[in-house]
Amino acid sequence: MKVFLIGGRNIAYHLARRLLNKGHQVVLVNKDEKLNEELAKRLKKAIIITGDGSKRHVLEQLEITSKDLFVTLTPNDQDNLVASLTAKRVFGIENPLALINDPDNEAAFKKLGIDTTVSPTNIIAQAIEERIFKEQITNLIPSSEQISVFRIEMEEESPAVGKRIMELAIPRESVIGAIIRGGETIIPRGDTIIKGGDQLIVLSKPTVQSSVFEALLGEV
Amino acid sequence: MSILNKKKSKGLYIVIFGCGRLGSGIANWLSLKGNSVVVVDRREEAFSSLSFEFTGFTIIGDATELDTLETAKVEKADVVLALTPDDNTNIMTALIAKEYFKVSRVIARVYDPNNIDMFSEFGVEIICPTLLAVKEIQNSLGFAGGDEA
Repeated sequence: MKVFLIGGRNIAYHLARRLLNKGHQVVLVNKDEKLNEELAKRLKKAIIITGDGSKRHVLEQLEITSKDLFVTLTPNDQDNLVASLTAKRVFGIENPLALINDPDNEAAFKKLGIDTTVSPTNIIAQAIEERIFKEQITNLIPSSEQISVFRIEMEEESPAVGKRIMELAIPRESVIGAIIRGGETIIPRGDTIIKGGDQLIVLSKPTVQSSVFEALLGEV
Repeated sequence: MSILNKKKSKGLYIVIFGCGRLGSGIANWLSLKGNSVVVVDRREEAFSSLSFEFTGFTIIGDATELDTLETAKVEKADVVLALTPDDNTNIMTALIAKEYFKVSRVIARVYDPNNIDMFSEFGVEIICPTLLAVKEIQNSLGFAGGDEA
């Protein structure tokens, strides 16, 4: 089994180094000749090919089999998509792995049969968001782009405490789906009063989540 | 035909990606024929090649971002044309228009004849200028028998 790494600069280098250290066979395909000379010096055991890895005639020279791993790492989603589709349809690789630059493209890649995608933007964004959120806020579905589900702990001084749900200034695109109070689950109505120590399960559109936090916890 | 005749209820809704020589030419023609046309290009300068008879809309955006396709309302399009200078961009935009937005007619310009079969399987119509030129030259030289390739 070989691992084909298509495109990518530093990320390809570091991946290759790691895979080679573990004893795998690695083939790097890159358009940039200068980069390849550099890589060849630093990665003695790797096979390095100069060429556009999204082009079928380039891939056809590489003796790719359906047992190999195929990973696309270029900074262009269109090149990653075309290379992955070629790997899948021409060489029978079941699960090519594609880096995606625009996280929104994940759904489109899936629809076209590329199920395994990695989005560095998403990963870093999640790490950033976890730092932005106060410690009372837990993101229950961190990977979703469509919906935010948060568990928010109320403290005695939180602005929402003592208010009825209907009095809260939370956005229309959000709802408090459940309140966990002392181990009991309460499905709230408009007249339910929020108490200190309550854990609110809040559903909202991601676009309004910061105004939800503000309404419930004050300044965020 | 009046230039101010901005909205015509008849005609198709057509989104064109890439406003180069081909894209702008087709856009001008389709607009003149009374279709609602939206042209998308990454570079604002590209729109200067649209004629004054072009009555459609222009959007600055990258065809490889799903957001751009949504802004251009691709899901409502009768026809999508992918005519940027980059093969892979055209293939990706066309496949997404077809499979994700379920557009009934999608045409992509692809220079490399290598991939035509594979992407045609998705139901995308591919125009390959390279093959067209080959055929034309064969025709002019008079060797065009049943003998392909």
